[in-house]
Amino acid sequence: MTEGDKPMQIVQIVVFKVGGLEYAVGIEQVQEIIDRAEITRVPHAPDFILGVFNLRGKIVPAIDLLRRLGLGSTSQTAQIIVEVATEDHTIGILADDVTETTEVDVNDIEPPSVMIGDTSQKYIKGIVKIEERLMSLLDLEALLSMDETTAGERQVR
Amino acid sequence: MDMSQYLGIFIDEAKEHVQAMNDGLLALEQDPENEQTIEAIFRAAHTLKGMSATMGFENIAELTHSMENVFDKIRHHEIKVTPETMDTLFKCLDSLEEFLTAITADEGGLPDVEHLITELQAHLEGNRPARFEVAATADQPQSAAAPAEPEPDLSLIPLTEQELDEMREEISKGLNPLQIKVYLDRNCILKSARAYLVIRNLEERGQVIRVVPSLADLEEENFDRSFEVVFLSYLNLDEVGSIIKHISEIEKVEIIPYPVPMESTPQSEQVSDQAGSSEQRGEAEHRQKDANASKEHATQVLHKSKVRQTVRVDIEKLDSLMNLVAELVINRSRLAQIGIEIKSSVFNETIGQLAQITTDLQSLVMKARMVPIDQVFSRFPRMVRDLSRELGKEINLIIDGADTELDRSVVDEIGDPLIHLLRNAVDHGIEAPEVRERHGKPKAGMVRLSARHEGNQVVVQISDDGAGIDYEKIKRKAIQRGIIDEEDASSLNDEEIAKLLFKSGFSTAEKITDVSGRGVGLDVVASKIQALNGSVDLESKPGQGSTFSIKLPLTLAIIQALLVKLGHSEVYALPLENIEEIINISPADLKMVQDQQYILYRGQVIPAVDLSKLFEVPDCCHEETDKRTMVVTKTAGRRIGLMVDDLIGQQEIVIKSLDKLIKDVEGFAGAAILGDGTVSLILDVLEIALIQRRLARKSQSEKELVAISE
Repeated sequence: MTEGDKPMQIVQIVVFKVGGLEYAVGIEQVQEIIDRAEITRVPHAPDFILGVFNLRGKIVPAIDLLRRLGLGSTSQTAQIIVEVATEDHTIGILADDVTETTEVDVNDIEPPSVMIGDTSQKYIKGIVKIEERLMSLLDLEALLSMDETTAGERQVR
Repeated sequence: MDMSQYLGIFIDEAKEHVQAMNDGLLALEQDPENEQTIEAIFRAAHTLKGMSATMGFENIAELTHSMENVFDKIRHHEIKVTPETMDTLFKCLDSLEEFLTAITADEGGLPDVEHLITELQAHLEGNRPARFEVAATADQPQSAAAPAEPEPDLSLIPLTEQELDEMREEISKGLNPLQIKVYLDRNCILKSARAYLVIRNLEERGQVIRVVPSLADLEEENFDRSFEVVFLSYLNLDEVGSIIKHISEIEKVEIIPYPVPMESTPQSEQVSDQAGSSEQRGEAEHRQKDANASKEHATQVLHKSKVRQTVRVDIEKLDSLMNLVAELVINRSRLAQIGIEIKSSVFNETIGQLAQITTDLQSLVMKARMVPIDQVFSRFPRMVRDLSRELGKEINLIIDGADTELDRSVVDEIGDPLIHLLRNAVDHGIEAPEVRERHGKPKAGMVRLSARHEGNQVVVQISDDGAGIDYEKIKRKAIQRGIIDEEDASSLNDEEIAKLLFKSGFSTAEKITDVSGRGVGLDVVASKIQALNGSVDLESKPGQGSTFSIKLPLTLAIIQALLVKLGHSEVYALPLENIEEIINISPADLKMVQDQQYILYRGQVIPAVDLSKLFEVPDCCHEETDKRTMVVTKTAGRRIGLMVDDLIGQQEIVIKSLDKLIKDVEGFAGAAILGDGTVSLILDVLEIALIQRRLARKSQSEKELVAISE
């Protein structure tokens, strides 16, 4: 929702589909979009990390976004990998489809509502509304911060 | 002229010279009469003076000039080496180091050298002993380091008996002994390159016995514009002359026959006798008595056969070169795989050649990156000397294996942790002399620093014969600091207690000294070493001393590995260096002890790990009764048997690091890309052993719990 007194501030986002829902990341964080490569499982890794794959000589972890958000799993069907990079990590997010690359006004991004649910909320920067579609803008830094997840999970059971 | 582009080179070289002086002074302290040591220090000071003056660092030039004066007097036995002189000289070296650091950091505020120069002056004037007896060194000419004068006469270079013997043998085969003096053109820019050309040309046509000044000095341009060569060749004077004159930028060449006495008699006498009778050329005047100026370096015996040309290369370039080679190795494996599929002999032959070239290239790049660990070790004698004086302890530092080579990037990083551990050994480890005597130990403590290769790793150890660690005290401290609680403490064994020392916020020195105990603890050491993919362990016996063992990867990139299969499809790489043997076992060979499987291997009971189970491989396939393949591995002196489902083969792999996201997952040292482009995880045998032990302990304690609750 645009508030009249704020100047327009355009950001570019990449929108992709995972498990029927749409997610978005800032275009500056997207490295490239590739077909699903063969993923090597990493035993004892946190469950949302499906494994690692070879991206032109680089070893990149592949992430199951839905599992990270506590919404199930996408690993079986996803055919595309969206490679994203933060300061600390380069990872591939498995996706079913990449919908579009588009521009949105920062003012159209709403803070995540409490309603969305507890687990997923902390990994989301805001909700982008384009016409009737709603999509979650991912907070990759939070998504990839291992502080609270690994301590328990990486311990060998 | 803009000198900034030379600054890096200047600093590197200046550091080397300061280090050389440091080493020299330490040696001189032990053996004040050693001529060669004094010569070496003097030359280092002299070179540094020249370099810094050229670069416009007047302060350094002044200071080194004053130091040079002192060395000169020492050399001529005009002053005595006293501990005070040593202290001042060491202080000067510290100042020089400060200068270099300041220059590197591009800071203003250079240290003041005036007082040091005054202090040096005082040493010059005081301490004049009566002249030393110089009998032992009578035939070694000594003089001021005046640059070689371009006089048109040659004085014979005195040779060692060994060199003369060598020459006699060659002369008997008909070779002519010659002494050649080459004057370079005044405008010659690359003097060392010219000199190198001359010497190489000569070497192609005969045998170079001696070069004055030394090859090292020629290489570093530590000469004015002339140098002399004693040379053996079938060619005569004129032929040799014309060969040299063919090289450009040579102004003049003077050649005389070198008279070689046929019997071994006292050398200097013989040389002048012979010289008197062999005036074949007018320009050749032999004035043995004056044979000084150019013989500055004659005491140095040289066995190097040729000048080594070196280039300094930015380490980043070597890094990217290494990365490229790594990519090449991966692609080679991929091509080899394709070769198997298309079955073309021409193709495979080419791949074979490519493989060979890649291997050569790879080992060459690897070697180019290797430097001796001495680069780090060399500063420790001085540090330990200063520390022991400061703390009033007597310490013998023994260094072993300083020539052990490892990757430059590792060497660069290992300095600080080692300094910390050494300080630790000197401060906490070694007791005060009176305490040592009370315990019946020699008064002087021993600290041993050693490096050696062990497979694909380098092991650096720092051990002392001091008090060892007090396990009880560490436990108390850990409880006090809230690192563990009372309950934990009682269940810890010595090994685990020692590990507490590496936790943050630990310092056990009772009094805070300047040396350690500033709050920076062993935790910093441990994390630094882990960052290098290394590990550090402590072994300690109360009353007998402690040993810190640091294990570092030799090189970061490429290793030989055995590829193994788990389940139907998962491929893992096992570093070959960890593998001891591959054996077939039947289920009956496995023994269960407290929920942990063991196997008897060469009379030793070793843990057996079923990797498929440990890694929860999804399509795990074997029956309980199946025969299994076991890879017996050895790491850190411990054996462990790993059961795998299939062996694929040996392959060279490039170690790639894992993203931080999975770095903490235990059991893997990294990943590699295989020939078909897929990723394979590299097993870390040590970590697997640790997981295994933890699991065993856990299941044991769970059992106990069950037992209690029942």
